[in-house]
Amino acid sequence: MNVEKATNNIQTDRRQLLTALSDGEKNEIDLLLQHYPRASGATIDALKIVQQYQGWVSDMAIAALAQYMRVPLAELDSVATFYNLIFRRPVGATLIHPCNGISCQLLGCKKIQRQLETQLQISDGGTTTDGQITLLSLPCLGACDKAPVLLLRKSLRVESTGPMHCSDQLLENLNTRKIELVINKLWGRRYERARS
Amino acid sequence: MSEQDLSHSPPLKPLSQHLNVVAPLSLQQYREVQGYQGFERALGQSSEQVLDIIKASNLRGRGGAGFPTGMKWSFVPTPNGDLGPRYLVANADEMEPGAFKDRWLMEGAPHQLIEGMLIAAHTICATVGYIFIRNEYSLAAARLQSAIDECLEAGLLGDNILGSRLCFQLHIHTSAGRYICGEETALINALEGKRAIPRAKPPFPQVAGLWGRPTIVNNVETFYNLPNLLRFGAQWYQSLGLLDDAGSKIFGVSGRVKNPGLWELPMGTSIREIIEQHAGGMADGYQLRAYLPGGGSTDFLLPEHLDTAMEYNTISAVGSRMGTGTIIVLDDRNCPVDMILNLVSFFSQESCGWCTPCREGLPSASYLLRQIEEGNGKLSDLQYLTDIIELISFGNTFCALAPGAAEPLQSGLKFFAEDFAQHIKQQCCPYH
Repeated sequence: MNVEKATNNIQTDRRQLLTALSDGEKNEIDLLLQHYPRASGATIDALKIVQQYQGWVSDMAIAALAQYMRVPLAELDSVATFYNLIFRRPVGATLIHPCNGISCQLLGCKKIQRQLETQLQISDGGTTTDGQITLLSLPCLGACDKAPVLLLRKSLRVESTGPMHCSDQLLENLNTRKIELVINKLWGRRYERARS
Repeated sequence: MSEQDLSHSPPLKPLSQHLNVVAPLSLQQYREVQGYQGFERALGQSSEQVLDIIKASNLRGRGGAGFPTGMKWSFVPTPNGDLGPRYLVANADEMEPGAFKDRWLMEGAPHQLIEGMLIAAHTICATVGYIFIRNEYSLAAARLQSAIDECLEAGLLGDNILGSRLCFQLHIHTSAGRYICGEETALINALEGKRAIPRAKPPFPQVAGLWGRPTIVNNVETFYNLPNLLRFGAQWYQSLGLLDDAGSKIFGVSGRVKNPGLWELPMGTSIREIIEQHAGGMADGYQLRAYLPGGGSTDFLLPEHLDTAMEYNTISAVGSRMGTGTIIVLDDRNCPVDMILNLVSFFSQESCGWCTPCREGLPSASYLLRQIEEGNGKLSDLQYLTDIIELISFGNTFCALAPGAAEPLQSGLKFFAEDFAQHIKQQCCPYH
C-alpha cells in the first residue's frame, strides 16, 4: 500500500474514513478486542472480518481499521501484506484455488491450470472481466490422495450490509474434461455472452 | 488406579479406530466407545504422574522433527502459585507439500484431538488452548467447532472440568495462510497478530511463548496418541512399534500409485510394505524412480532403500528423514528436475524473508532450476546450486525452512545427476 497516499486521503476525506467500516464490522471487532490482552493481537482476525464484509481489504479499510483499533497503520499494513489469504485487491465472489503442490503436479495439475486459464481468459491471480471469478493457485491443499484437486470457495451475501457467507467445496481427481464442465456450469453463459 | 484399562482390550489402531470422515462421532457416540476415558484416567492422577507415563512411552512428536513429547513438556515450569495463563497449541497448519494426514484425522475424529489436548492441558497445567488450523481446512474447522460446543455444554471444556480443578478454554484460530506458520515460534507470532516470522531461541516457548507465557505447541497427530496411551499405559504403547520407535503412525502415499491414501500402521513398518502393499504398488505403465519419505522437505530415497523401516533413526541412517510420514512417489515419466523445481519454488515463495540466506538463496535456487528445466541451463549452474545449498544449511538460517528446502535439492542433484546433465546438454527437458 502507498502509505503516504492513504494518509493524504485520510486528511482530505475524513468522512470517507469514518464510513469505511460498517457498524457490523465495528461490533465484531469490539468483541474480538475483548479476547486479547493487547489490541495488536486481534489484527489478523480483524482483517479477516473486514474481508468477510467487503470481499477484500482496501487501503482505506486498513487506515480506518488502524484508527479504530488504535494500532499503527504501518504495523497493520505489514500484517495485511504478509498473509496469502488477505486480499489487497478486489477478488470475485467465486474463488478458484487449484492446488499446485507436488503431488498434484505429479498427477498433471499443470494441464488443469492451463485449462482454467484458457477457459476463464485470465492468468493466475487474475479476475474475470465481469469481476465474478478469481483464479489463484495455492500450495498443497492436503488432499494428495485425490490429486489433482482444487478448492472452490463461494462467498454469498445474505443481507446487504452483513458479512458474506463462505462455502468451500473440494473438487477431486480432476481432469481437463471435469474442469470444462465445472467452469461451464459456473460461468458458461457469461462465457458465451463474452464471446458473442 | 491401575496403569491399564483392564475392562477393554487395547485397540490395534489407537489413532484411527473411531475415525469416520463421512460422519464423525458426536460427543455421545464417542463416549459410548470409551471416548474421554483416557482423559478421565489422566484427571485421576497428578500432572507429574501423567508426565511420567508420557515420558516412559517414548512418544515422539509427529510434526516432523520427532522430538520426545515428554521431554518437551518437562521444560514447562511448574506453576508454583503463578496464576497467569499458560498456553497449549495444536499445530494444525498442515502445509507441508504432500502431507494430508492431519486433515484426515481432524475431519474424521474431532473429539480425539480435544481429548488429547485436555490430557496435555492437565499435564502442563495449561489454561487456554488454541487449535491453529489452516484456512483451507474449513470442514475440519467446522467439525472441531461443533465438537468444542458439545464439550462446553457437557462440562468437558471451560471451568472446573468434570468437577476437577482443571479450567481450560479452547479456541480455534484460522490461519490467514503461510507455510512458515507451521514453525512453532512463527505460529506464536501469528497468534499474537504479527507477521509469522520465527523467534530467536532461547527463550524457548515452553518458558516464554505466547504473550511471554509458558506455551507448548504440538502437532495434531501427537495429541491423537494420548487418549489410548493413558488408557492402556506406556508398556502397551511401546509394544505397538515393530522395532525401536513406540506407537503407531499415520502413513500415506501420493503420486502415481494404484491406491493412494492413508493408513495407520505400526512404527517401523517398511517403506516397501507401505508403497507396495497398502498403496498397491505403482500404477500400470509407471516405474518407481524415487520417493520423498516424509513430505516435501525430506531427502529423496531410491528403490534400493525400500526395505528401510519407517523409524526416525533408521530413516536418518539412510540419509533422509521421517518427516510427516507421508511418502511422495516419483515415477519414471515425471521429470525429477521439474519435481525439485516445484518444491524449491514453493519454499522460495513461502520464505518469510526474515533471514538473508533463505530470502535470497531460495529464489536464486528456484531461478536456476527453472533455467535448467526450461532448457537454458549452464553447467556452472550446478555448482551455483551446490553453493546455495551450503549457504542455506543448518546453522546459517534462523529456522528450518531453508535447510528443509535444501534436502530434496541436494539429494536430487546427487541421484538425478544424469537428468540434470541431459537437460543442460540438450537444452530442453527430455520428459516433455
